[in-house]
Amino acid sequence: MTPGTPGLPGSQRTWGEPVADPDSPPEERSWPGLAAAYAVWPEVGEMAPVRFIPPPRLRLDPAARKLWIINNLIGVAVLVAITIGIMLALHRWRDVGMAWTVGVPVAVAVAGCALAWADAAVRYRIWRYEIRADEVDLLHGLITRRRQLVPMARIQHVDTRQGPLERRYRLATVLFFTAAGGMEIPALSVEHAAEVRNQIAALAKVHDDL
Amino acid sequence: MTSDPVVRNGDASAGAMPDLPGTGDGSQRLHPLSIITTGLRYLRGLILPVIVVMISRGFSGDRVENTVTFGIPLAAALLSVIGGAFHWAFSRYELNGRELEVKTGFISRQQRVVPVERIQAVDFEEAPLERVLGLVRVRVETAASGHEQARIELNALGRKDADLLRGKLLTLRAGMGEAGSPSPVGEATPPGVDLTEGEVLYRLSVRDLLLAGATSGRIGPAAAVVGVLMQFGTDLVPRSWWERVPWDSAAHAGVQAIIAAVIVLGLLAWMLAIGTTVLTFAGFELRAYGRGQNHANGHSHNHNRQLVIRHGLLDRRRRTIPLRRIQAVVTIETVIRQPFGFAEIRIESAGQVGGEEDASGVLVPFIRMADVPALIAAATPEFSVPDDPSALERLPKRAARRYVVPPVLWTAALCLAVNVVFWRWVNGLHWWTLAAAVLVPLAALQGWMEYRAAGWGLTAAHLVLRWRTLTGRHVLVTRRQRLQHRGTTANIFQRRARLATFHAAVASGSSGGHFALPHLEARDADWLLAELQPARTREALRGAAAEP
Repeated sequence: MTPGTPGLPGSQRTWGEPVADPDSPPEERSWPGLAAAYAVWPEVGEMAPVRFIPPPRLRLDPAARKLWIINNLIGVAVLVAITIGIMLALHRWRDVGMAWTVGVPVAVAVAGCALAWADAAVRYRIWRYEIRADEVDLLHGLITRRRQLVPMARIQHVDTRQGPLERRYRLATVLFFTAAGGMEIPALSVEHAAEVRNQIAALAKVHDDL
Repeated sequence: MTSDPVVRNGDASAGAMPDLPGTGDGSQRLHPLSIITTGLRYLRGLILPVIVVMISRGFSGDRVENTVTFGIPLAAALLSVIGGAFHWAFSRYELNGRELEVKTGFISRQQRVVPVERIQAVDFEEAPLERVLGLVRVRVETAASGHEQARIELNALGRKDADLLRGKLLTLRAGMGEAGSPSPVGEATPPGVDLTEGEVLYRLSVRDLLLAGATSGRIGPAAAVVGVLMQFGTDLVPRSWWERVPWDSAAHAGVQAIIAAVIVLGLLAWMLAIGTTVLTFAGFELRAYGRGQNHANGHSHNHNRQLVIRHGLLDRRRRTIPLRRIQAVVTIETVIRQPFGFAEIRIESAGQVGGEEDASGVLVPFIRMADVPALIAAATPEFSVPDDPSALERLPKRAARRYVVPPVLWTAALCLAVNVVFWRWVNGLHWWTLAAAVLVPLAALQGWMEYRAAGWGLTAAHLVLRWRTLTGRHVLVTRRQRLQHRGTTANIFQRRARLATFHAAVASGSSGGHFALPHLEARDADWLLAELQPARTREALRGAAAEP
């Protein structure tokens, strides 16, 4: 197929002969647009357009930790209950010693509590968000770090949601939906959640048909 | 905005939603009779469990027992009414400037804001009971409504209120929306489409149809069907024919008999696969209707263009796809078809606003790979890119290991487990349990091929992703401005190797529409994120338009 294909403005510009990139081994670079991009990366010169979006900066409400610890502890409680059940059954029918029957659930409970605390603390440290004029930017995830960028023009509507526990700590979750699915910013203070929601709603109204 | 049955927020109920601050004070309630209709809906959800519980309790002679048994439905009814009352008490809606706000929920409170610009339709639904009570269920549709969580429903309004609300929403929307450009998805088909001068873009010849069947991936399911039929085989096949099979010698032949049986089964399955493909796709025809064919600047000329697909031998199917609803085009070369140079083209399309169309589906079930670019240029010119695979950016070399190692480990672990199980608990090792080890190099090969196939590219207008799965090689082409959201993920191992998975999502009526390409150079993924910013995309498009 020739470069002048219908419906492909600018194909000649961005797809072409391979060009060597000074920054990286030649077998890894074959596309001039990219090579040009990285010739100036990461020191973003005045003439160079932005080559990466700086990560979001805002944190969630500090009370998020308490909320998540309690949420995690509920899970731990369920787990401990199950363990107790299993150990009791083993003790009764499989001749497992009393030390094990008591020890295992206790160990699970202790480890669970520690993990519950650590998970909440680390997750809070990692979670960042930012609402910019044109996009919502989210960064979170402990093992798998997840960055999500949602153009304002694609947001269909915004919700805030408040579960019973969240209400206890005066927190709320902001959810927003595009035609491809939903995303959320959890555990913002109630006032801030309302603010964020209204901000997104206001910015999302900008109609942008590219 | 108020009419009789509507109680204004601010009398007795003012304290009902204290927690989330900051909306106007014009919020309104649902119709009080919605307690009944909502309650009935809750009750409908409870019917099955109630029946199950009642049946499981049974009806003994004991009076107390029976009272309890019959008490269950009563309790369910009571609960439903209370639920309905709570729903009514805690639901508000409000038209606040250019936003519709809906608050619901007692235990988990929810407050949603819909910009009027985003509303695509305001639908009324009336069940018979609702009609008798003069109530209407109002559904506010946005492009996100396909997703369960995102549905916006006002359970029951009085007819007058509903009309008033719809009128206001639609006038507000009409006042602003039409001046701007239409939203990219979900607009109704314009009425003036000329349906007379259809242009045939693709037909499936009989030969292609048979080839499509012969190379279809349906052999697997077909084999299962054949296997089941074989169970009843003796009854289906004429006895005389059956008796002619030399069963005695077959029983002695052992392995050979098994192999022969497998071959027979495979052949039958193959024929079945061909048969079902012929039934489904016989007479396949892709037509384009409406103006705007093959303009270089196809985008602005395609408002009325529609694709119509017809196929089927017994069950004639016809699907209409407005061109501007199409979000992405995916070309799939399945493992069987790739060596012969054949492919299938699927599309991802948004909508389901009317609920009558498939969200995504087959554009062309079978086509020569060489003809794909021309067909895409003719049928969906917006998604046509120069089909030069070498132009796609490949993944860095250190990504290869990450494609190969995990499947190798998985299959190796599986093999080991199978062999250990047979060795310890079943009748010892066999040559065929050990032979399962061939899966390991196969997995490695698959991983390597996935690495080789993976690639991406970005033009002024398009994002192209290419990847391979067990099914085959996929090439996705979408337009930059069709992306809904995008992102990266990187797990611990990827972060250590400075790699990342790139994610892109386009609008899709159902669950589809999400695409991911693992193990890009992290810088490249970041760069893609930046380059796909709306502002950058506008810039690129403008630059591309100015250039020629």
